[in-house]
Amino acid sequence: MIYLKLMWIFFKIGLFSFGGGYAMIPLIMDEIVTTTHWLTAQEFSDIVAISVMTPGPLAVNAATFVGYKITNVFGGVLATIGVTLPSFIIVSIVSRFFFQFQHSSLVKRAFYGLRPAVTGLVAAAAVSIAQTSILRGFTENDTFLYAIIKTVQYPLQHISVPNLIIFAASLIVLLKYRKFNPILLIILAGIAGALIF
Amino acid sequence: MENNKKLDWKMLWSLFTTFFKIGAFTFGGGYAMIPIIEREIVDGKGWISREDVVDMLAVSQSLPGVIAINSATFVGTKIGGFIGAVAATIGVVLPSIIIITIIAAFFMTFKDNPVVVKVFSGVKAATVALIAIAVIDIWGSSVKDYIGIIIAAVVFMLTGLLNVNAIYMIIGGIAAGLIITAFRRNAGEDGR
Repeated sequence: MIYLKLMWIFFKIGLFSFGGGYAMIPLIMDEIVTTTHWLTAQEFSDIVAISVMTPGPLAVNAATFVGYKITNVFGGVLATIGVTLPSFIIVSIVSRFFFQFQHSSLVKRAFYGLRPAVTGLVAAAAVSIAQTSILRGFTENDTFLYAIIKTVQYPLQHISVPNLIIFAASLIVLLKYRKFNPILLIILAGIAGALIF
Repeated sequence: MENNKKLDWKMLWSLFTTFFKIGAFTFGGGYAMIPIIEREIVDGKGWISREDVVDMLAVSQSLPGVIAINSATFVGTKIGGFIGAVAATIGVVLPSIIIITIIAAFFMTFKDNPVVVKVFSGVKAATVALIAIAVIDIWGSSVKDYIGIIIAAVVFMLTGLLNVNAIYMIIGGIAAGLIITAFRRNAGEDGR
């Protein structure tokens, strides 16, 4: 039963991946390309490329896409349910405990260190995206430190001027109008991208 | 978590639509959703606080699974209990199902279309600004003192500059929190 197998594979992927997004891609590739041979490496890399460029969580996009490619719309939905369920079940349970114990001394103490760590991770996500948009000629796998050094050495080669302009304009708008609608900003940036490149 | 009272359809619809917007308009990873959550349910509805947004990120990062789904389930549970979590989670995955199915069926050449590439490129650059502002927004509710600044800076350097896996930062952050507060207690200070 290919539908059940598809759902189970994506359930496992949802269950065993931490950190979301790109961390899941090798796991999906291992199951879909290497183990089951449901897709070729080329087909899979096309799917990842499109999943990155479309809105929504990368892993969910990839699940819908792989499920659809292997079977049909129904398979796409099942693969998506598969990848969603572990998150849903685990967070449903843990968040109940969290709301119950969030004012306990132990949770407060752990979160005293965890909150700033998470803030650091959000900042890290910003530079990771900057590295493949405002800068160019680097991949997700390069470290930002390497990207910075290379950019200082060869600025003309590694700075994408149109993207830098869109980034700077977005930042100025957001700093000046803190309540600016983020969805409107995304739409405007997309239009600007189409016009100025 | 008032899920034993009668269903508040307005609240469920609002959870669904908020997370539907997040699913439909966030590019480049889960964090671009922070400004949308802040606008819709922190400032707009006042259902959760900025501290709750940081807790949402902390819990979502610390558990396995897709961060956007973890966040949807967390906020849904907080606001509307189990049924709230269902509404938010369906909301966040539905745009992906719709958009990807249409692309897979009709537009496999999507990624090679030059206009699509340009639009995506512009969106990604704006996403960097959105996430940078999100850092400023959550800073006040997450970094309370100089130790917080040090932890945030170390995490940023290790993961942001050197690509160290985020899970070690989560474990390290929890450990640092427990150890530092334990020392403070021993020193007779308030352990927060």
